[in-house]
Amino acid sequence: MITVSGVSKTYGETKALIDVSFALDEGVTVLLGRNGAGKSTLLRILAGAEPADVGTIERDGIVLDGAGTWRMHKRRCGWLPQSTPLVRGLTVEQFLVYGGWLKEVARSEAAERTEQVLAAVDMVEHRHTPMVSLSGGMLRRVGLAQALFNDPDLVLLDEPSAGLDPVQRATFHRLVAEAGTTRTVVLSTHLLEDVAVVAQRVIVIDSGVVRFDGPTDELAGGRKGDRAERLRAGFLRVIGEDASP
Amino acid sequence: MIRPVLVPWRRGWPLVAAVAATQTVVLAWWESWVGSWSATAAALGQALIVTGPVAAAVAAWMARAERSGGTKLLRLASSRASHVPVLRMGYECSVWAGSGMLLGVAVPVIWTARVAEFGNPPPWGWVPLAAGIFGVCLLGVSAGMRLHPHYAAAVAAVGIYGATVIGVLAGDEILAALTPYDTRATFFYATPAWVYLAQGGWFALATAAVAGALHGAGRTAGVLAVAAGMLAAPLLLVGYNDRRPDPAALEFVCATGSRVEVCMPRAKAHMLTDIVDTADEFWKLADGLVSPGARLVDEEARGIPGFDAAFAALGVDTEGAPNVPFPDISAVTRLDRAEFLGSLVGAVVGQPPAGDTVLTIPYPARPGDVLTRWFYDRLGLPLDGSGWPGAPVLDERVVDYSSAADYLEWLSDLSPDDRQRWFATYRDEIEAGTIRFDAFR
Repeated sequence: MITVSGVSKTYGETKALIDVSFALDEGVTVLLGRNGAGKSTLLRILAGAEPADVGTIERDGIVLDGAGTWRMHKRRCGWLPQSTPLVRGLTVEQFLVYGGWLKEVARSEAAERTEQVLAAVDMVEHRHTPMVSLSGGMLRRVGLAQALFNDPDLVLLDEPSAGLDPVQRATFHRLVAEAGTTRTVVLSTHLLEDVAVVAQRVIVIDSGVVRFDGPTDELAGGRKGDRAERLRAGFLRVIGEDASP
Repeated sequence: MIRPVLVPWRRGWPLVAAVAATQTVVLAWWESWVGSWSATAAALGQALIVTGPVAAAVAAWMARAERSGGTKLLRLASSRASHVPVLRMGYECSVWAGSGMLLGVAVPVIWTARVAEFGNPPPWGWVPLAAGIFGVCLLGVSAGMRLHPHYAAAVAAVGIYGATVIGVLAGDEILAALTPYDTRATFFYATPAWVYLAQGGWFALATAAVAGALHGAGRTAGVLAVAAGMLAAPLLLVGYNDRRPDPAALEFVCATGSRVEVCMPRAKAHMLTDIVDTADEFWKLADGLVSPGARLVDEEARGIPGFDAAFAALGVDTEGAPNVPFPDISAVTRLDRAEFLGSLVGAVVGQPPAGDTVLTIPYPARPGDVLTRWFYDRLGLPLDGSGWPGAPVLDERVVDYSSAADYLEWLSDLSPDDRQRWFATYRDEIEAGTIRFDAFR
C-alpha cells in the first residue's frame, strides 16, 4: 500500500504539483492528464528520483523520510521513465543487468531474471542486440522489462505506449494488465485508449491538482456508447473543458 | 575481479586501445632505453604522464551517456547510494584502462626481464599504479557525468595532467613518498611494501572522496577524505633515510679496458661497457697525463649505509687512483658520452669557470683554457655549452684565444709520443693548475 499525502512540487515559478494526496493498492491505476499536468513529476517523486518539496509518502505504513526507508522502497519499485534510457554500447541483456544492479538484484539471480523479463516482453531473441539497434517499440518493451527486472511490487510507467503502433500498443496493454494482477501499477498517459483498456482506477491531474480519483467506470459514466469516448467526455468534464463537439 | 556490468567490452574497448596506444608510443620513443629495471620503471612513469590524461579523457567521453536524461533518472531511482554507480563505473573503466596498460607495457617488461642483469620490479609497485589508473578513470567518469560533453573530456585531461605535473614537481619536496610513482634515483634503496600499499590506498581514497563530493555524497566524501588524510600522514614522514639500502645494488662490478678499469655499483652496471670504452678513448688521448691501469670508481652511492664496506672491499686507494665521480650517470639513462668526457677533462685539467655569454667580456686564454680547448677539439666536444646540461661555454664569446693561438697550434702539432712525454713532464703542474705558457715549447 502506497499513501501519498499533501505532496507539492515547484520548479521556479511553476507549481508542478499542489497538495496531491491518494492511496494506491494492487491493480492498474492510470494517471491521466494533459501534457505538463504534473504526471511525470509525480512518478519521479514516487520513484525516488527527486524529492517532493512538501508532503509525505508512506509504504505499508512506513513514512519514507530517510536514506534507509527510501532504499527499501526503491529496491521494491520498478520505473520506466518517459524517455527510455539508452546506454550506448550495451546490449539488451547488459542493460537489464545494469538496471538490476542499480536495484541491488543479487548477481546470482540476474540470469534467471533476465530470462523471465525478456520472455514477459517477448524479446528473448533480442537479448544480445545492441540497444541502439532497437526500434522505438522494442525500446519501450525493454524499458518495461527493466522496470520489472527487480520483481517490484510497485511499477511506475511513464507514457509507456507513446510512439507505439497499434499492434505494439495491444501487446503493451496485455503486459501491463498482467503486471497489474499481482502488483501495484501506476501508468501515466494522455491516451484515453490506455485508460479504457487497462485501468481499473483513474487519477486525473490537471495543473498539478488532482481533479478526479475513482474507478474508471465512474469517470466514463453510464454504459451507453463507446467507452473511450465516454472517458474523453468525463476527462474533459473534470478538467473543466467543454466536452461538446 | 568483479565482472564489468556498466562498461562491458563493447563500451570499454576505446579505453583499452587509447591507453595501450599511448603506452606503446611513449615507451617506443624512450630514448634512453637500456633494458634495466630502473630504466623500465622510469619509462613507465614517464608514460603515465601521458596515459593518465588520455585515460581520464576517454573515461569522460564514455561516461557522457550517463549524463543523458533517462539514464540519469535510472541512476537517481537506484536503491544504491548516489555515488556508488559512479565508483562502479570508475572501477570498470579502470579495469579496461589497466588492461590497455598491461598490453602497452608487456613488451618492455618481458624484454627487460630477458636482458636485465640486475634487479627486478618491486613486488608491490603495481599497487600505486593500479590505484592511479582507478583514480584517473574515476575522475574522468565524474567529469563526464557532471560536465557538458563538449568539454568534459578536455577538462578531465587538463585536470589530470595538471595534477600529475604538480605531483612530479612537488615530488622532491613534501610529496616525495606521497606521489604514486617515483622516478627519482632510488636504485640503491628498496622501498618498503607498506609505502606502496599506503600510496595506492591514499590515491584511491583521495580520488573517491573527490568523486563523492562531486556527486552529492558529502558524508561519504568526508569519511573518505579523512581516511586518505590518515594514510597520507605517515607517507609524508617517509624519506630516503627510511628506505632500506639494497646490498645487491651497491655491490661493485668492474670491467677492464685496454688502458683503464672501471668499477660501478651493480645497479648501474649495464652502462659499464660504454663507460670503459669512453674512458679508454680519453686515456689514450691523455697518455702521460693519466696513469695506465688506473681504476675509476663510481662513488655516487657514497654515504649510503653499506656502500663504504663495499668500497673498502674493492681495495682501492682513492688517494692514489684518479677519483672521477659520476654524479650525472643515473641508472635510468644511457651514458652521455660528451658529459662523461667533459667530466674526465675537468678532472685532470681542472674545471673551466662557467662563463656568462652575454655579459662577460672575453678574457685572454690561460694555459688551462688552451689545454681544455685542445681536449674538447680532439674529443669532438662543443665549446658553445651545448654539449650537455650545464656544459661550460669556452668559445670566443667568453675566452679570447687570439693571444694563445701559437700555443694551441704548438700543442696540436705534437706527435703522440712527444705529447705523452710533455704530459708526463708537466703532469703535476697541469693537475694543480699552475702550468704556465713557458712550458708550451
